[in-house]
Amino acid sequence: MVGCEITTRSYNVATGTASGGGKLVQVIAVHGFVDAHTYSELAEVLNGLIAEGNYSLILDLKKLEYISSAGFTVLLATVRRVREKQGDLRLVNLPPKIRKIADVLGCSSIIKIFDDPKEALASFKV
Amino acid sequence: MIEQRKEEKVHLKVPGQGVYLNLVRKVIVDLAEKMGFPEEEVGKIEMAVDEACSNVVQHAYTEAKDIELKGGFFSRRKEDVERPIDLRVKIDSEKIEVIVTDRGERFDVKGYEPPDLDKYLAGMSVGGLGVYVIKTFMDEVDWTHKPGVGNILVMTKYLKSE
Repeated sequence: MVGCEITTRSYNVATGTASGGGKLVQVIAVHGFVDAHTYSELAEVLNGLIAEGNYSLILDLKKLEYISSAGFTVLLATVRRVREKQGDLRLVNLPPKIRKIADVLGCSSIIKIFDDPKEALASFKV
Repeated sequence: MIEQRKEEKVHLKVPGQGVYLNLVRKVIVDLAEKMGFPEEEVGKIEMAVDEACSNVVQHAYTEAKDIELKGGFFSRRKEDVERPIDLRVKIDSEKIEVIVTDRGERFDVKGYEPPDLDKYLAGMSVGGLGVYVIKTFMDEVDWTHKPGVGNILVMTKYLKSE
C-alpha cells in the first residue's frame, strides 16, 4: 500500500532553474495521500527544511490524491512558521477536488494558491 | 453508474490501524462516484468518512489501550488489531448512509465543542476538526453509544441535497 512520497528540489528565484546563486525556493512535490497515518512524514520534511533556514517553500500537489484535516493542519502551521521568518508556503497544481475542500475549510483564504508553477516561483521575487 | 431500485449494502471491516484508511477511502469514493455524486460531493463524503475512521484509530482505541489491565498491571499495546473499524454502507437511489462502529472509549457528542476556526487557520493546531468536517460535509449526522456495542456514528448524504 503506497503512502505519500515527498521529493524536494531547490530553484533559483531569479532564473527559475535549479542552478545559480541568489534567493532559493524549495519546491516540495507530494505524491499520494496525506492522511492521519502519513501527515507526520510531510511535517518532518517541512520541519527539516525550516530548521535548515529555508523559509520560501512551494508545495507541488499535482499528484496529491487526498489530504485530511491533519494534513491541512501541517500546511497551516508551516505557513505560520515561515511567515514569522518573512517567508511563505505557497501551493501549486492543486487537484480540483482538493481545491474545493480547501475553499470550504477556509484554507485557501490563508494559503496562496497558484495554477502555474512558474508563477508561484516568480511570486517569491517580490 | 449504479441504478438502485432497492437498498444495497456493503460491509467493510478492517483492523483499527491508520494504514487501512486509504482502503476505506477507496471503497467510499468508488461507491459515491458510481451513485452519481458530483466530484465535489464525493470529496466531502470521502473526507467525512476518513475523519470518522481516523478519529476511531487515533482517539477511541488509543485511550482504550492506555488503561488496559494485563496480569495485574496496566500496560500499553503498540498495535491493536483485534479492534476493527467497522463500516457499513447503505446506498439507494436517493442517498448514501455510512455507519461507523467502534468499541473504543465513549464519544461524548454533547460535550463536543466546535473548534476555533480562526485559531486553526492561523496555524495554531486545534483538535476537534474531524468532527467539524463530518458535521459540515454530511447532510445528517448522528452519534449514539450502545453498551456492549460501542460508538455508532451514522452519516447520511443525499444525492440531491443542493
